[in-house]
Amino acid sequence: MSDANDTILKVEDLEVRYGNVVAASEISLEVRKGEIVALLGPNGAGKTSVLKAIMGLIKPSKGTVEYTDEKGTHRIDGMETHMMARMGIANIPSLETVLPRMSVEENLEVGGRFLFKSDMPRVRKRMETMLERFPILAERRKQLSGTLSGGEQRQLAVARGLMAEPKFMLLDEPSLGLAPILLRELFEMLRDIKNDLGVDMLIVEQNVNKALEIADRAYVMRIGAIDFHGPAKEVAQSERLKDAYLGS
Amino acid sequence: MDPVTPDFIDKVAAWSLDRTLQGLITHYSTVTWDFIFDLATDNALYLIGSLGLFVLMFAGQVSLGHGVIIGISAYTAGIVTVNWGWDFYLAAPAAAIAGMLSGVAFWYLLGLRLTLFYLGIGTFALGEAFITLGLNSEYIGGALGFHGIPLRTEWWHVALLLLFAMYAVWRLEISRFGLAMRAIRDNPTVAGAMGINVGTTKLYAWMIGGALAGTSGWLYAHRVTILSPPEFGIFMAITYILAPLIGGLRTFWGTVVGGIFVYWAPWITTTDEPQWRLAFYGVMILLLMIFMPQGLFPATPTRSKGKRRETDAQEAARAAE
Amino acid sequence: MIGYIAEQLFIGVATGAIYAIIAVGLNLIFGTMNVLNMAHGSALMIGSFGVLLFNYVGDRYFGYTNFWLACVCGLIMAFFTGLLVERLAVRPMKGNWWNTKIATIGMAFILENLVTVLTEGRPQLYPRPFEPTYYVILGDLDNPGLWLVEISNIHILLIGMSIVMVAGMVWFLYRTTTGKAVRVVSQSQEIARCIGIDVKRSIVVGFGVSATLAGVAGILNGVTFGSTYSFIGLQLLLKGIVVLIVAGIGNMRGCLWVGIMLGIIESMSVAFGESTYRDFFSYGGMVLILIWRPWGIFGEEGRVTREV
Repeated sequence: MSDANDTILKVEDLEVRYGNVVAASEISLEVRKGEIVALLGPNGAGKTSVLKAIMGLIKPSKGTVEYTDEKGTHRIDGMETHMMARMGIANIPSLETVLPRMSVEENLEVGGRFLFKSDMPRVRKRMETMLERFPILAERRKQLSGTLSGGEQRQLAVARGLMAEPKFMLLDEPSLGLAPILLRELFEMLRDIKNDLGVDMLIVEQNVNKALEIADRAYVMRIGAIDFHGPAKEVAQSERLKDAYLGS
Repeated sequence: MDPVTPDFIDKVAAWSLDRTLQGLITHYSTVTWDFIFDLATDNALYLIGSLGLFVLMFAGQVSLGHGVIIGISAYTAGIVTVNWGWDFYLAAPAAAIAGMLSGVAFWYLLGLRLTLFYLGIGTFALGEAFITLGLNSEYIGGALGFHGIPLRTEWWHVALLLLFAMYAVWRLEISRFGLAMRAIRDNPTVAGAMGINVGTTKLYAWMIGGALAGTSGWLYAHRVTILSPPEFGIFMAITYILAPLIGGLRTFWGTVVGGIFVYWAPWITTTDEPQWRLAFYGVMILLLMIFMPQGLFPATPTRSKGKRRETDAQEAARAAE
Repeated sequence: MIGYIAEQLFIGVATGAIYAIIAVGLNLIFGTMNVLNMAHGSALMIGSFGVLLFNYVGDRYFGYTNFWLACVCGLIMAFFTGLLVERLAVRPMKGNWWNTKIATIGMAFILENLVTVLTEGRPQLYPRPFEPTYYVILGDLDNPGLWLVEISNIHILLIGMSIVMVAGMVWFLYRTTTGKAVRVVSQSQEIARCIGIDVKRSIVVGFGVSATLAGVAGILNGVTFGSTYSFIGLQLLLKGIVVLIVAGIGNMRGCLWVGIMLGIIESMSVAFGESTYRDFFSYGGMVLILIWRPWGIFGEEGRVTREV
């Protein structure tokens, strides 16, 4: 069923530790071309740790992560995050989303500047494209990003990630701290990005409903391991989903 | 990276002991039993002041102006003995009170408002400010120094005071008050939320630390007989902070061990020049920070046998119930 | 009288300029990594001694000395000192500011005492690129009286250099790619990594630039006062710290203003009275700032609460 040519990201048997504490183990998952995959689970299940390990912010203690682009398949576990960025993988972390003392424009600029070898015209053109796609940011382009609202900052973080013209995006809890109205906008935006720009995604999310609305497939984690997975619709209706969150 | 295994320590200890003995033997002509005895007395005096600094750090306060507190107390002791003609022993409480009041001043101006980083810088600056005041004060001899303090300190003064200081700090460490101090050191916000009066506890820490420094200042003054303001500056502050740094903040024994090490370790290098000794200190500090940043007896012990040791704040919370 | 005061004023501005350059270098490091580099003074000292070394070697083995080449040598040595400090005393500390402070102090001890041993602790005479010429601003050279106000080209050089240094730093941080990377790293290392910045390399660059700046300060100091000694680094570092704290971390222009102000206050206290009170103003002022406005005159309030 799984066509190996289609797989963009393949995680096998990943284990993440903090000192002696195992946050997640035996994690295996896949993201295929044209997909949005959601990684779900209650607090403390270890999903952010898994994402951080894939992102390269933490070094996994076991397992492999493989990324496939037009040049072939590469192992990226243990790779430095900035090298991953140069491969067309955009990382959107959850807590520090924007560079507060820089303007919206500058935030976007730095998103692309270090990856395009300072090809400024290209960066500027991309910036304008982003501002078109995110009109709220265009309104506030000269504002210091620290003064933006939570939702706007989240959009800026995504836009900044897109500045790199990525093929693949990793998002860590994009809904964190957002009001419900903004959630819908954000997730619709994410789906549009996948459809229009061809960016596949792995999204770690707390907000199960919203994530499953736009995801194609989902994995559900529970206490450091993957409990079950499947197509989004099935997962949404599954009894096991409730169990994972409410604990039984 | 965990290179500090028992094997490693054994080897280093054996090598150091060997070199130290060699160092001493090489200097046999200059090293006499008297000299070692003198050094030991100095060491003990240093330990008293260091314990005072330990008390401060035990409560989460850092002071790079500790030398100055000792200096103020030393000057006080000198003044009362020389200018006012007091008895040698009466100078002790005078110096202790001077030290305590200096501590209060530091607490009030800086300890209450500032946290770690700015506290460190601030205590250094306040100390330097005091030194310049001292340099300008004719009454205490200014830059020329304060002379003529009678040489009264005997080795047994120092020994008794050190024993007393160790006893006092030990009692403090295991008391409820010590628990409060540890809680503040661990996490001041949580400590405050549990009902510990953070400001007052800090005040007591500064007072006790200051008093200990004060008594060491008393003996210091009557041992070196000449005082001058700059000697109590940043170099002294760094020397005093080495002991608790090496020893770690879990228990005062660390400071004792660290303090002994600070005095005897430079003899590993077989030269006499102060520059090499200071350079050696530099190397030791660097190695220490790389391999044992928390000191010999770290404040937050790592998990033993997989069970979490509770943090000091948690311990205090338990005790509060 | 006016002449004397004016003379002290210019000296104050000149020394203040040196303090400002030192503070700017410290600011860069503190901005990037939230650590205080106590070995900054060592880079200064080595830069300053590098000039002497070049001339010494050049004279002894080649019979050739050249001030400007010596400066290049000094700055290169300062640069590498910065890298050395970063590698040994900063990187292993993993960002813990307290350990870094102590480790850099240790590093400074090593370097400064080594140089003391090499120079036997004696102050060294410093070469000058040109003889100081004085330009009369006010008054009459033939009839000096109380009104003669002169300024020397050394003073002009110093003031000019400090402005150039600050402007250069600002240009570096805001207009070059590497500089921008440094700024990003100072705000969020995590984001920096996610957008393709090699954080380790940025930090190394930061230390290199900062150390080179310190070297400039060291050379300027040597030229101005005609001599240098092995503990000059520590001495000037302490002043630089005062400027940094009072001006506020994160603001380069503030360092310039506060540095010059400090220099003027110091020289004025020399002019008007007790020279021993000179240090009192700097340290006392610093304590006051810490009590009243810890993030500095020009600093941003948020930075105090940064995790230290």
